Amino acid sequence: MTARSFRGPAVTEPPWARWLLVAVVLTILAILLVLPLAVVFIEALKRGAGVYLAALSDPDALSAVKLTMIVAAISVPLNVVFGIAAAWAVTKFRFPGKSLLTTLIDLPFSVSPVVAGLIFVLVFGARGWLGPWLRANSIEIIFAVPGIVLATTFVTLPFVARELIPLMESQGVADEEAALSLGANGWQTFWRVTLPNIRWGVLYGVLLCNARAMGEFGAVSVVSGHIRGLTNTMPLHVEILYNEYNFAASFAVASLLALLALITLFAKSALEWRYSSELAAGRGH
Amino acid sequence: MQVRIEGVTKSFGDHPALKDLSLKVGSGQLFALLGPSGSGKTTLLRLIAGLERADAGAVYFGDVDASRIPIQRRRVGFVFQHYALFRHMTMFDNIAFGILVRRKEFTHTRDSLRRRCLELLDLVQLSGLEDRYPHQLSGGQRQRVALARALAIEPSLLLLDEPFGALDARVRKDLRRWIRELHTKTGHTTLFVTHDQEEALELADAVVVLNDGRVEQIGTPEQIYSAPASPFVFNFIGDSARIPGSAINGGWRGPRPPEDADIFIRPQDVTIVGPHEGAIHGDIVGVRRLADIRRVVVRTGAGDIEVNVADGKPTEMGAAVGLQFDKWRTYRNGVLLQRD
Ligand SMILES: Nc1ncnc2c1ncn2[C@@H]1O[C@H](COP(=O)(O)OP(=O)(O)OP(=O)(O)O)[C@@H](O)[C@H]1O
Ligand SMILES: [Mg+2]
Repeated sequence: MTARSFRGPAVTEPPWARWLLVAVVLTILAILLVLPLAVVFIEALKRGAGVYLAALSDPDALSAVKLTMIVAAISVPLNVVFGIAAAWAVTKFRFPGKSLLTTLIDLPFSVSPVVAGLIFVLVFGARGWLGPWLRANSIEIIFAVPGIVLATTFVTLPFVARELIPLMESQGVADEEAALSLGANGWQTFWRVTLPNIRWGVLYGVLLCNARAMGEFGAVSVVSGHIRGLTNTMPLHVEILYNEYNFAASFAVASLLALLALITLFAKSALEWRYSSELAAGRGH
Repeated sequence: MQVRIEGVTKSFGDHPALKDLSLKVGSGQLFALLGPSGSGKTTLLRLIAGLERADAGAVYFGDVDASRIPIQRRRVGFVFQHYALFRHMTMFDNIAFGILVRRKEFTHTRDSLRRRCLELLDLVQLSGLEDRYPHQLSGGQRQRVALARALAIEPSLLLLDEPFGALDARVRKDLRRWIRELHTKTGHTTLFVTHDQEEALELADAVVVLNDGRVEQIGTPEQIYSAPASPFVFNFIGDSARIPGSAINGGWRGPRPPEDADIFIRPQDVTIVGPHEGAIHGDIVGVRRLADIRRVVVRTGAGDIEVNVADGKPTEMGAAVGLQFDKWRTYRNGVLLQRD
């Protein structure tokens, strides 16, 4: 939304009503969004930069940061591949079960993350369906990094696909057909025509997906086991420190997550501003 | 390359878009596909290009069944109704695309590729615009780039879907001549789609009139214009009036019972005469100014008939007049009865 649409000709309310409405919205935003964000940074830095840096360079904190990065580095690319493949299938082909696929893609958004985590425990856990077989082959998934990656990937699955489906729908198949008639094979068409057409949409989806992957708590909490230095991601680490009344350290780690959120927000706005015409018009988030 | 279309049928769902359509385009010829919106023109081009698959029938390139040739190797230059230029590429890259993806067929060096692309830009009279992106061009310029891109692959067949669709009348006229010259110069077998009859008649070696997925008539512009095979073609090619009447042995006997035949007549083939002369009578109910002539509407027992009237002749609203028919075509059950 831009400032222009605010002053549309359809506005009929008197000025005082408009200002009142704006004031109410801004107040709610300040209380619910800005204030907590400020508190995070204030609490984190309250006892000085020394304590702040010490909290961040603690080995457990470092390993939480590292694990979070690894999880994001695996699940985000998986999401990109899945998202492009799904959007491609949904928008460029006609096949039976297409609407079912579109609905399924949204499942991770409609299911509680805790339930998502529990599903993985039920399947891969020690007493789950595949538990005995996994143990016999000494493969660890639950309470280990693979489980965290799986849960994160599941929870973030819709981001790229949902960004691309409306975009590719509006672009249609005309460019691809032109490429084919000019002699390009499927592979060349994808790399030279389709991908460049959707690159900003992909980047947008990656940003949102990455923010969620690094910040996911519920599903990861269920499958991680909270083993310090091993299976603790940043959000989990924040909770552990908080429960130990170690507020300064807790907020220090939290401030990193808040910073990530701010950077994501900024990059997202920059993308929207610069490439609005190449991003999907009717996005749902 | 000669193209033969034999008994092609194509449906979308249960809606038939092409019905048992056959057509032969000789090598090096320029054919126009003419028909109203929705008559299946685009569908036919897409089928020839390999972008659609026929439900029945076949397309032959020379003697080869085209369904055996994958779309990439058909070498069909397709200019789409909505251009479909690659929006993230410059004009130069758009034109070079077909050459670059066919590296095996075109052995170009960097220099010769560049020369070839600039040559093509020159051919479509857009020299100097090679670094522009599609959104920086006008509709007509985009159209010409799309054409250059299609020509770059040295097509054996050129398909143009409403190549002048987005242009104003003046530019259309210029481009029309230019396409004709280009065709003479390059000699590609060409099929172009239009729903502008004037364009089809002026430009093509042969005109194919499509109606509702069927061929109504194939012929030279002269044949199409002077001997339309059906009332539909007569109507579609220019303004006309239909007058029911009776005919014997192909000769029309006037607007009288039994009404077993229709004549179709054009405004320029009717003359206004005295109220007691002529084949049919009525009152003048309208006078309109066209670009180079006046058009008078006469209300008769057989409906309104439009007549061209030269400047200087009096035309009074409400005047009773007779109409004399100088030239017409008679049809019975949609079939042309009499020829000159
Ligand atoms: N992909 C499609 N799915 C369903 N119906 C289609 C499809 N493409 C074309 N049709 C139908 O087939 C018929 C012929 O369409 P086509 O695009 O060939 O018409 P056209 O002669 O090119 O018309 P225009 O002059 O408006 O471009 C139309 O009735 C159209 O609705
Ligand atoms: Mg069309």
